[in-house]
Amino acid sequence: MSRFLETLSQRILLFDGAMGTELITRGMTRGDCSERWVLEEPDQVLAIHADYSAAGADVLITDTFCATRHHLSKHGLDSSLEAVNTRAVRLARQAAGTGKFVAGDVGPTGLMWPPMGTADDTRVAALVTEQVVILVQETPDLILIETQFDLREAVAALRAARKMTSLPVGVTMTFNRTRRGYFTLVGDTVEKCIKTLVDSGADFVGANCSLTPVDMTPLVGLITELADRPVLIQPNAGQPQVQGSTVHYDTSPEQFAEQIRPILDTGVNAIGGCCGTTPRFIQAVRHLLDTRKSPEDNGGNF
Amino acid sequence: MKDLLQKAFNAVMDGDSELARDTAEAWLAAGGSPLDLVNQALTPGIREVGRLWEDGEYFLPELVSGAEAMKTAMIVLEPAMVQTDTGTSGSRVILIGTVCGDIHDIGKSLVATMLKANGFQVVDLGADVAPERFLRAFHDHHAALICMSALLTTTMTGIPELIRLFESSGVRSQVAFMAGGAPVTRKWASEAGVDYYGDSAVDAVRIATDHFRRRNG
Repeated sequence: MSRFLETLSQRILLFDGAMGTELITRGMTRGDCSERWVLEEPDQVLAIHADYSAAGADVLITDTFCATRHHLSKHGLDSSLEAVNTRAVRLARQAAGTGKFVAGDVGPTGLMWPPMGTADDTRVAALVTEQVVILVQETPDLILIETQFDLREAVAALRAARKMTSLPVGVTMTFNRTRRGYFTLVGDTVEKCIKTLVDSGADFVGANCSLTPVDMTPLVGLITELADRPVLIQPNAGQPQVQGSTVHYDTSPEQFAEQIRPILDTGVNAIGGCCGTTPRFIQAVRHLLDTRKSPEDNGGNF
Repeated sequence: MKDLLQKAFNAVMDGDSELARDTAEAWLAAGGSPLDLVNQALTPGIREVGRLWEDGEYFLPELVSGAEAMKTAMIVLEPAMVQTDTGTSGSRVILIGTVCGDIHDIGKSLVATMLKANGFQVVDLGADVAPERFLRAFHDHHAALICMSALLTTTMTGIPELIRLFESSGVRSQVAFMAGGAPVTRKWASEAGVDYYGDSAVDAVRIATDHFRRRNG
């Protein structure tokens, strides 16, 4: 078993928080591609990883969310595919050292499946394979396929990554909360997603983005019940608010951590932050993890 | 003819573009008025699709297929409508695009499709649209409504920026703005100076319909 999965079975691991909003506070212009900063402002990307590490994150996620050829080509960066993915892992590793973990990040490819678009297994697999091959050369500790809103794409990406590496591969889906329950954008149920991902060989599963910790709590209960393997949850910080030309979230780091508490009680194995979270949010969750008393202190729903 | 109305309604509900096209052709061949098919079958169909989507019964694929079926039928009917439709007074032109820096256009394209399916004249400027392009297109097309979307918290500030450009150009009062996108909320949109906040593609159609009804009388 990998060191990552072994640790995950022993205690709740803390993943880091958002990257894009942190780059903006460091001067990235709106709409620029955060992967470009890996090439042009690596010190800033490194500083963000270091901040999350200092805040107590156990797992640092590489700045490669949009680093497939399809996305990079929209920013004229497709010729830098290898450089972006290689350097991004190195930057995260530099901040993580050997004690912490590095997650090679794979976001949605940007293709839509029918009837919305023309994506299929072959096209998605090609894009993901190309990215994962580069990521794993730099030996991250795991591959994280995240923010998936169409189970077809999640499975295609998972299978493609699985073929390319023996590293742990996990998948987090993005669900919306409706009157009838939780569904992905295209209507996949939680049960279908989790069962299919488990059957397709995911080493861990979970949910991220779209929802606040409060809205995510009932969803986490469903996931931990369905999954016979570790669960990762990364909620958003709250609802975004705008003052002038800056965006902030209405939830404080302390409130966020307090809202995370019931999620930990459902037996998740890993927790982190998505949109709007900062090193201060992660620090607050670190404090919670280090001080909370619970019969399930070790996490572990499996 | 009643049978064809039901078929056209079902075609939109089931997202069956082929059936929608065939039914529209059969309707015209039988001497039916294109507007009757639109008003009595296609529009009720797309409204029902929208209602089911809002209720969480339908999802994005059903919504997109329904709108596509409607569009397919409209392509058949439109040439006949030009001859019979007396036209509506005033502009029904809507500009739509994602704001500068935001390349995420799935939601925006869905809104454009739904607006088109509901009979609006939509000029889709695409993704990552500079404020100056919106302004130029506003003048070129005499648009009465501008829809903007942003998917990222990092790009949503492009929405108030666009409105400020229209203010400084002295044309703000000639056009209404609607905004939407994952991070956009009603409260935020209002503070950003937006006239209408749309929380879904269906909501956008409702808002546009009300807007033009008030505007054009």
